[in-house]
Amino acid sequence: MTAFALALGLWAGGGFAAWLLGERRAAGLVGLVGALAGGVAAAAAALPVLAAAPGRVWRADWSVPYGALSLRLDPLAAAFLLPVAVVGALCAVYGAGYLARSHHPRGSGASFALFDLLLASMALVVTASNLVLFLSAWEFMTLASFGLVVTDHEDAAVRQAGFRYLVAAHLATAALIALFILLAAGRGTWDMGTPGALGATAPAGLMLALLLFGFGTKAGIAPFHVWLPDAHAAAPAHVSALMSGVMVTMGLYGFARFVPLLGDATALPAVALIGLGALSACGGVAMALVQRDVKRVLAWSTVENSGLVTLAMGVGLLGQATGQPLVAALGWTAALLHVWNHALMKALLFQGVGAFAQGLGDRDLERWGGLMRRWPLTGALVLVGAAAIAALPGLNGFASEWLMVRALLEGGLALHRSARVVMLLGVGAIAFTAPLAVACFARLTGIGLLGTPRAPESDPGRPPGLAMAVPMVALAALCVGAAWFPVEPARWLSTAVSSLAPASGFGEAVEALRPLGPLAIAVGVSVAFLLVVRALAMRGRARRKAPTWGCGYAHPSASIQYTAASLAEPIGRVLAPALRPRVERTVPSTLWPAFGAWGYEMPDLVLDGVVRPAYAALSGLLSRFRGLQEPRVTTYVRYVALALLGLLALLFLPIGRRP
Amino acid sequence: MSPIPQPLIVLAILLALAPALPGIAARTRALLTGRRGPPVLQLYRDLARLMRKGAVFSTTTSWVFRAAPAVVLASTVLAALLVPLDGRAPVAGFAGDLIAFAALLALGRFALVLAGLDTGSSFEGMGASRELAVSLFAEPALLAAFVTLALATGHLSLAGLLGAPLAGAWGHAAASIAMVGVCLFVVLLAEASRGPVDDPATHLELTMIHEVTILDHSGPDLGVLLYAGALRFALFAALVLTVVIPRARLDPAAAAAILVVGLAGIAVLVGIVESVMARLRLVHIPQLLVGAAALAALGGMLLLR
Repeated sequence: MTAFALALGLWAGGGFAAWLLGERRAAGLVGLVGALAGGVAAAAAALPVLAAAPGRVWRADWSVPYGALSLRLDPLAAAFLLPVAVVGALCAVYGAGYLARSHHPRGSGASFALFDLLLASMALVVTASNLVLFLSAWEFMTLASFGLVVTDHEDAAVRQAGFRYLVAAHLATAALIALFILLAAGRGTWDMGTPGALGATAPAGLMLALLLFGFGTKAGIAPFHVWLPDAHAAAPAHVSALMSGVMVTMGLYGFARFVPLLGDATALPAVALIGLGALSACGGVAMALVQRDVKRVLAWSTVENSGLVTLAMGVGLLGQATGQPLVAALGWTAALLHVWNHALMKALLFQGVGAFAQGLGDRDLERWGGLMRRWPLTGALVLVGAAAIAALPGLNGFASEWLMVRALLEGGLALHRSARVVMLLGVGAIAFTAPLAVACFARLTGIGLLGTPRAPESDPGRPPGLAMAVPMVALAALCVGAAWFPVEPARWLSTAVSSLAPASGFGEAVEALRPLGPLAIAVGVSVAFLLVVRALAMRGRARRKAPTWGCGYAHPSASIQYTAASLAEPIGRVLAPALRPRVERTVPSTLWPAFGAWGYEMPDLVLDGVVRPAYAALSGLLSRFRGLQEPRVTTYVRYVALALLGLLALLFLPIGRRP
Repeated sequence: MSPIPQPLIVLAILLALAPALPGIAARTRALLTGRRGPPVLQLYRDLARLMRKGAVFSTTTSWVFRAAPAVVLASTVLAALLVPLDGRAPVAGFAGDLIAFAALLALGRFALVLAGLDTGSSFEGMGASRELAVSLFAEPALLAAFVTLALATGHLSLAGLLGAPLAGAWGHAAASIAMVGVCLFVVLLAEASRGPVDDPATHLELTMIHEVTILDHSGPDLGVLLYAGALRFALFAALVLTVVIPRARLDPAAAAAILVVGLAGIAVLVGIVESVMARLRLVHIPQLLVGAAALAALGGMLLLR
């Protein structure tokens, strides 16, 4: 607990000092040191707990009603704290390099203050044991991340993205407040650690719905994801990396922590999580495939991966509800392992892609191209991240997604009736997302980094310096390491999983991962072997350079390359009934056609179909009350008097009074 | 008994025979359409010639283009290690390796698509786009077939799905397994880039899928890609063969002999299909593969109770 308190102190102190130093050069350095040292301390606090030390509890009184400064660092908290520490520190280092290259390098003091505050608040969220403290930390997290999202607030689109995030986050927090009141009323305590069953009066369905909405919004689960693609695209690269890799997992932490507290022993929460997860995974990856903005591709992929984790958690719960310890252990291990793996690979991708986007000053995939030869190291690192997140064998994304499918298949064989069908449908959902994810990241890297530059004037400038390269190399190395030795991270998660699922299935779940290490190594070694053989065989042979074969066309140019839109078009056409693209076309008609055009846009169905109409209706309704407003003080004095009179009348009338 | 383990021997047979299969299919098609056609062993000659040549590299390409053939070949060979080619035992396997099999093939496709896009040619971009679109349906169809076999046998490794338990499952789940066989044959046509999904004999880039994606590779790189393509054909042919003719109870020599004859037989079958069917319009390929996946899923539903 000392190490954890030290971490909180370093983050908060570093952030506060950076804020005080403001525009001075030292501000960024102090903030960076705070983030780094806090990360080391937090990792030092989390690792012993994961290595089977008993959870620590710390408690102090707090004058806030129902609140107590009560912290609990148990294995589940530690499992979510470790990515905050590791990825947070690596993103801070990258951020220092990134901000120094940005168009307004000044003001990094405020940026680092918010960054350190975000780290501290996330650490508090996962350790808070009191519901009021949890909500306070949750709110700090929202506000700090909002401040970071609107870093480039000169841009109207950034302000709009930030505002939408703020509104969505607060609607979700409202749901959480309602949930916590019901929870505290049913359990008779505001402390999360106290064991206590819910009273029979608690409305289980309502509480589940509040929980799914409240935490699902932060996790970016469809259909509550509407804020995520814009906010993650608008933020600076290191903030996007931290939000997408780590902050969304706070919502997933909420699922893991609070669904068991609901005490619902039926299969309903499990099936709800599986259903939402499958919807989110399929919808997220399909939308990622058709985005033009490179950072929105990554943001939608976060919607997919949050969905995959949610699905795996549902599998764990369903295994528990149906008395299958192996399925439960496989599901929970897959979920937590994917939280770790996704934090690594998404942070890597946002950092690498963000560096290119900063260099080019452009996030439009159709204007990228030819970048692999300009920045070979950054390009190769992005390729590693893309192959990892596309769940290709040899990298870490495959290990956790494989474990998910393994859990689903195991459930499909062991369970009966409807539970079995749910499991097999889950296999179908992942079988659908896997090739889409490969296509999506082949498109991002193939169109974005390879070929010739699609905008001839574009130039990324000089490659990123050490501050940006070192974190990316470290993340890529962790991705490879977690793939080559998948049993180790799973074993670190054992204490957390055994707090969620009956312990009996766990050993087998970890052993299930064992063959994946040799498989990943075999992929790496055999490819390296073939490349060496190729290099030896090609020695002394004629190697010529020539333009790409144009099938007889003599004047190739960059603009005749296949575009990102055309690459995805055959898949987009098949998915059109589900995604409803807006196609605008002007067909040349006359004998001497003057103009022809074809435009293609994929709207967010939830945003355009539900959220925007709902807000329009709401603002229409509320504008009817505008007549009540008058620019005179006396009118408002009259309103106040009327309201007081009304309340007075309530006291004397027998309405609502208890008998 | 020879000191070399049987799975390695059949793997060597598969690796050696793979280049003959496209030749057999082409010869079948030629005979059925009244031509003489190229020799059955033509691909061996092409490979031998390509392996001796130098190479031309496009000026737009990066290291990705040069590394891709190694990834494609390595992933295909590793996938072959997981399959019990003689219907008895694979070289290596573990519970859940059926997902690894599909993912290894996806890795090869990823490398192939990136190499195509690296050339900056719109033809290869077109091929890459089509490869991805076809895989969107071929991969779920493959997994649907595997899941149905898993339900029939109660195992999660390819050794169980295609080995001894499958022979037992034919007794009580014959209809489902037959449906899986048909589904896998359709997946074979798609994954090995054969008609009616792709046309390996076409001469117009606009109608190609696989051939146009590797248009710019030359010399040994092209040889490796052609060989890996033939190996993928042989691998799926072995898969179909093992589902249709379980050989777990035969003695090793007979099982290996059936593999050799069966591979040739499936290549003939592919040649016949290509002769009697025109290449499908690209928009109709999903229908074929979804139909195959639905057939395998239906087979699985018959086993649910």
